[in-house]
Amino acid sequence: MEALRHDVPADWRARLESRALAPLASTGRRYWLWVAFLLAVIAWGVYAYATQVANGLIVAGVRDRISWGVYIASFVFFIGISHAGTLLSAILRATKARWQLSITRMAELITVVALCVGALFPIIDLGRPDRLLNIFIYGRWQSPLVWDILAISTYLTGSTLYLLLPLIPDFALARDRLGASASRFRRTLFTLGAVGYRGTPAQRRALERAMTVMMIVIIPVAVSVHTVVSWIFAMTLRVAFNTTVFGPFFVAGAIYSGIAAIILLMAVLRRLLHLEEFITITQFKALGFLLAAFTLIMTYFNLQEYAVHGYKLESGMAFHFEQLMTGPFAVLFWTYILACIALPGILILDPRTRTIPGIVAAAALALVGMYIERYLIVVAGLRVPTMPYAPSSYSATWVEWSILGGAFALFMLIISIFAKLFPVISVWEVIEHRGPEPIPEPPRRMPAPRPVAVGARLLSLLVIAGSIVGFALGSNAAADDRAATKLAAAVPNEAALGETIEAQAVLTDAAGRPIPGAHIVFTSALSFLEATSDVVLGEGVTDTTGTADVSFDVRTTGALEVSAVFAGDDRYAPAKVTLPLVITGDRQLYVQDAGVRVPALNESPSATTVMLGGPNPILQFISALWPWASGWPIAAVLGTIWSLYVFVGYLVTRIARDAEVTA
Amino acid sequence: MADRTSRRRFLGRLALGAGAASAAAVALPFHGESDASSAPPASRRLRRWAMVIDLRRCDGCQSVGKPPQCTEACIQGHFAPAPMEWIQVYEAPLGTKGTQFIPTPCQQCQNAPCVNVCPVGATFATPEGTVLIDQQRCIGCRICMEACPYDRRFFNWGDPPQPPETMFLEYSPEHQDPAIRGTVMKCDFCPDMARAGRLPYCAQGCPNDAIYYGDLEEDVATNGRQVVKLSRFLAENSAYRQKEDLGTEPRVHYIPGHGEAVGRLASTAGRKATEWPWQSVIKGAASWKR
Repeated sequence: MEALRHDVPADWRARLESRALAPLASTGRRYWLWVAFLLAVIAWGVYAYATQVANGLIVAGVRDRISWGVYIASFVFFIGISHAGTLLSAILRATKARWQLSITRMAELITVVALCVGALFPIIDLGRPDRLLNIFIYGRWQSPLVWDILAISTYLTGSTLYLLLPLIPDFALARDRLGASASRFRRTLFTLGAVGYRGTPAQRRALERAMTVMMIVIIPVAVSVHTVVSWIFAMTLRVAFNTTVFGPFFVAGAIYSGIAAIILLMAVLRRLLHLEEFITITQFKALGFLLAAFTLIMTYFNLQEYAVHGYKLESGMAFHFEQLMTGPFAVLFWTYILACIALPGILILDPRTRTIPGIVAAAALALVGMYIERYLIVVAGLRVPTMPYAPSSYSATWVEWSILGGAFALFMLIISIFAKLFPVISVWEVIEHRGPEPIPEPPRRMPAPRPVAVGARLLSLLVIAGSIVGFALGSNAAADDRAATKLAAAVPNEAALGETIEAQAVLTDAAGRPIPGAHIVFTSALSFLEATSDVVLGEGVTDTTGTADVSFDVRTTGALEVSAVFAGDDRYAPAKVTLPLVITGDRQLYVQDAGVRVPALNESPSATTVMLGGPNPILQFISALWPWASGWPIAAVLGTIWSLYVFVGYLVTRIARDAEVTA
Repeated sequence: MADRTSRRRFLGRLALGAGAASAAAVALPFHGESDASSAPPASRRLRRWAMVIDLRRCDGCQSVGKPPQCTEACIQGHFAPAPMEWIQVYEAPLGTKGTQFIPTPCQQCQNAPCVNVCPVGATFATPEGTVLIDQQRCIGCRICMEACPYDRRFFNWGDPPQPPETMFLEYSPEHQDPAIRGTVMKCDFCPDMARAGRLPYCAQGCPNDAIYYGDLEEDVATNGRQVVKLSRFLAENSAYRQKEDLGTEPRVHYIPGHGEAVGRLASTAGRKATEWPWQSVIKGAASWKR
């Protein structure tokens, strides 16, 4: 370990190293009791899940109308707190802040563990967990759930890399310092994790470069993850979810809860691992101010959300507002707004409560509030009736609460285990870039993230042509005292399917004088499914020459009989004439082309096949590939990110190779 | 036109394996090839199934003093587990007084939100315009239920009760028997029935002939009694579709009104609850509320 800073006091450095490495060397009884407790809670959660697998989701409180509940709210919550790591280790690092270096490791740890735990929830929520692999076999680019899977796996891989990279020098430190005093498992872990790092200038350069790449890549990935998580709601046609602000709103909420989570974790670890000298009021105040800033951002987003919806009060929104503000969710809603957004801000901005206990209390409130918010978005949002039915209700069952408890226990267990496997403080970074804590100073400024968007459209035509042929005659004798009429009609003998047929009917009285203003109907007997009846094809009114010109099309093929019918009126008796008509053809007439088609997002393969059409085997092959190829923009973005991950992996191999050269 | 026996006969044919036509319909469901009397043989034209519900004739079956008969016929024909009402008769407020009954099957959207969001393609649109669910592929994530703006999707939260007959049936997304726990179900528009020359159960069950089933390609529709030219029928009666502004392009059309043709006053209300008669004989089945 070569220190860049020469003003680091040797005793301070020795204390830091021994404090950071102490938990790796020895383990007390309290730790095992804690682990046993967590395992018991997890076992209870697993039992609850086993009950659910055995009986189906009927054991949960969700039903058809509110079909997502605690599981999906927890999914959003855990993915949200994973943003702690990105904010602290990437965004702050990119802005060259230094105060956070002693807590970046914890933040990155929260990121990885929260992602692992959060990703379990959609699986727990599945009705058929046994068919999970269908997502990989039949996965579709168009589905927001598939976007979630792609985004979260990309984020998890990236944040794991970003957790492991700064660990390399610390693993090397543990390898060199702990040596024989550590267990064999730990020695192997330290040696492997250090990848032969000895602090040579080449290794340093490779490490710095890898960390810079990850620092830049991880920020857009993190922002996209929570945006995509919000899209499983925003992409549905639900009135309460019908808002474009959901992406940034979710990202802001995620960072807010992430900051709260890191404050709580560092308060606990500082106490348990005696790190008071290295995690001081400086870190608490800086994170506290960040939290306070996010209370303002959250206030802004809530205002945006509720002011825009509330002003217009579209159908459904009145119900939503009523249920949130005075109805069944009022207690939760006002707790969230007042106790979990307003109060934390006040606690931190008031100098009297800007102490470590005050900041921890604010963080705890923020964390509770963000869980409430996720719950309200999912449950209250789905409760708004989409059709005229009485609003449904949802209350989580013991199974859902037990699984949630188990998930929190799992979260804490993994962190507890990791705290025993590597230093929870990035020792080398603190030594190199920070040194001993100075007298508390005001924190530096921090940035906020930004969102993204897409769109396109297509249409088609249906053309019809017309013609006329031949004449035929018929007559009808009057059966009553009304004047007898004579109806002559003309239709073509033959017509193509869908062709516009120009038909003509001439109505005269017995003396051959034209009858104007008579209503002539052309009908034909058609059969469909179980019924046969006369179907009106078209109708017209006779002019001064007694002639009615009527055009219609027939879409039934075969030999038909078309009748021209005059139903009779006060003065004239009814008349009818029937003519043969043969409709030929085998052409598809009704081509559907509904909806907005976004190439690569929701464009359907069947439409593409129709468009390309024809028997051309090459075109058919291409159109058959389209469902897989349609996701190319997503694939391109993912490809870029993953190739950067591969590049970072390559840099790590450079570190390892350099170790062989120097050794 | 309540033809209750047809369903049993149909099942019997399938169970005996004698229904070659039905089997072919299951194997080749989307090519319009059928023995239906109304279709010319060997035509390449695809059917484009559609429905028209004449609300002027719908009184929510108050005049017959029974639960909605379309729903009942559907439940009996499909063995839809309680509390699923694949065609549900909503009772919506009408102006300032009284209510209106709106039978609502799956709207068979042509820009179907449920098809778009399905992660595994278990919900899919057919060239015939029906939206179907492959319950053997569905993973039960329920994002389609969030996406549907018509509340037309139902989940098998527990083991769905099923009568023994369903064990003899070959599964098809067009006839979702037997129901599978942890999967989504909904109205399948009965294209298999139509291909065999029969009306869907709901249209057969309607005592007031309010439900027309039709084909946009041939431009005809029927309620079992009267055949109409579909495009003219829709235009002449100012037909509308539910939530047209969402752009979902449903295949189910409505003719505005509120049962006046069957003598119902808009101010009268009240109705009988839907029943699941076949289910009462099954012991120890799971049950849940919507």
